[in-house]
Amino acid sequence: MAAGHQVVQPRFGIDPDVCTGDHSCMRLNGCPSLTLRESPDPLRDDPIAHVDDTCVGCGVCGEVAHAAVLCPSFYEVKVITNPTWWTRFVSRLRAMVIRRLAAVGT
Amino acid sequence: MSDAPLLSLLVPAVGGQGGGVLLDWIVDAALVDGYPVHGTSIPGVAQRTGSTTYYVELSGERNPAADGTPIFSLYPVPGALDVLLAPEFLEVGRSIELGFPSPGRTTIIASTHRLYSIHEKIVTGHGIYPLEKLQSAARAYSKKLIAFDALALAREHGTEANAVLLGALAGSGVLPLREEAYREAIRAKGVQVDANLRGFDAGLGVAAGSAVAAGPAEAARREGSRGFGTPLAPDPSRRAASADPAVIASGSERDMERMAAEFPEGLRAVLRLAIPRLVDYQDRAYAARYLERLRLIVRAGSLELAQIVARHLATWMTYEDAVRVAQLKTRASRFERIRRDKGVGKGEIVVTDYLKPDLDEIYGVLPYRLVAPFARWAERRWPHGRPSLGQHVKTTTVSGFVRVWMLTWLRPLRPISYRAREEHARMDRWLAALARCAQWDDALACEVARAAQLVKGYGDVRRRMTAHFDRLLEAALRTAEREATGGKFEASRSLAARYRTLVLQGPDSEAAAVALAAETPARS
Repeated sequence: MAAGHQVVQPRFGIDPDVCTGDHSCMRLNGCPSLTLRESPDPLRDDPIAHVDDTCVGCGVCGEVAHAAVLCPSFYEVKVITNPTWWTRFVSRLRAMVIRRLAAVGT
Repeated sequence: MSDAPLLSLLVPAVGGQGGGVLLDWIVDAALVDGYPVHGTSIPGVAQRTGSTTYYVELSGERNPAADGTPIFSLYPVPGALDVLLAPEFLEVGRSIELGFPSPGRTTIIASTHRLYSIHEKIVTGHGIYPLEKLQSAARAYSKKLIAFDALALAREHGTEANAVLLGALAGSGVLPLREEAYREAIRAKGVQVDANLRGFDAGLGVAAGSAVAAGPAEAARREGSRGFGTPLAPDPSRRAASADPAVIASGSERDMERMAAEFPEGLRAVLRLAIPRLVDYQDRAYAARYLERLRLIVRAGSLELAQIVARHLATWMTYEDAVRVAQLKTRASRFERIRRDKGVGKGEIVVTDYLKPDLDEIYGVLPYRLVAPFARWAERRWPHGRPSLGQHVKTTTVSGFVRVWMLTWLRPLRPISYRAREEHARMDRWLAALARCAQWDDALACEVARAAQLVKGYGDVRRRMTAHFDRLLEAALRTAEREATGGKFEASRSLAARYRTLVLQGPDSEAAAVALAAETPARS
């Protein structure tokens, strides 16, 4: 990474507004990086699930939630550091189209 | 044999916290200063079915060669501990439970951040062990307590908590070793020397500064440690999280104030969150429908009841159907949030969403009239584990984004959807029950209102939770009806409260909740 080469690191995450805080994922998966956090939504009582920055991106949490049909809160994000010009070009192009689309909708 | 007093130090750790390195540093520092020392590590099982412990004993006197080497113990003895060095706050509680620290002898040095244990995490409701209890126990079982958020401090200095705790140990002066001996040990180890020395100095400063340093409450307010299990630190982004900023900015704020104006002052704070959320979810008419429902409750009961209902009704009316999930997943602010949370900086991201709507969620977004016969058949055919459509969607690619985003177009259909019909029917049953309970007893109505906390989750989890909600409502009403002649509603109130508490403890207590609902009406 320090040498400036493109590095892709997977991480997992949970959308805080999609998680309803039933903690079913944690009953099935004892990952220490999958933990609790106060809900960003003041209308909700219970803490929500949260993947902290110790995540190594193994993907077990997402696959378990997926296999058990728990919820759509999990996502994987591939963080690309020092992107090549091609990666950057494709990402920018995609982001531009998506922004246009999103502006049309909701 | 030497009669020199032995000093004992215990480091209970979960694993992955650098306890082994911490032990090596302490042992090495003792050797640098010429104190006979012995260190052992007893591996536990990670993830909290048992903790790994590191134990150090060192002679209180230097160079006792004349008397021979002291005989060291491999294990700590309960009550005979000089230092408890806890890299996480619950470890203090666990050591106290095992009887190791004693008020007459032990100096407790602990980081106040929390890594939640499995038992705290798997609770359906709020299962986090109260921090105040740990704090008072730590105070009661120590001669001296140095407690501060070592992890936050470590992150500030770009290092790990173990180096900070080593600094705190040196600063506390419990062991006879010189500060320089610890530094020498860090240098000798040769790993991340500069960062560890920075952490060491930071810890040293805290311990030297005050005995009871920044308490957890203060530490919690610090930013930077939020992600890593600090005691549920308030989220700075905490506001109407899912409300589209455009909705708030477009002059509709005045409109919202107008809509909320007729409600008592005590409700405004909730309404300011609820109304934009409902407008964002559906439209203004939907928010008006919410207020209409709330108005009836305001008339029927106390302010407390109205506050509980206002909060739960807002989250319930914005139930997470496939359309809502698609809306939240395709928002520009969502991708910004991911970049921020994962510290992406100038890099790029590729997001893959794990979506798996089950049959209910799929036909739920379609018009009731169209799918009702099919839905009834499907519910009989698959009482549990309905078929689902699993897919991994790359929402940062155009095709993936479009696939999810198209779902948001179904929003205009939502009011006539199958799911809407079911959800609103259940809400109406709840509100009718509340109006009825409020006539009998306000405390009972509040307790029944709180039952809405159970309505959460997706798919099978949600079906299980709503089944509990229905059962609670039915049992509480049945009991209250019997009690209505006497005018006292003890049994129904406690039934509603206990049922909810049991279900929120987790699936293992759900059977007890069901049994409670079955027996209570029979007794009264």
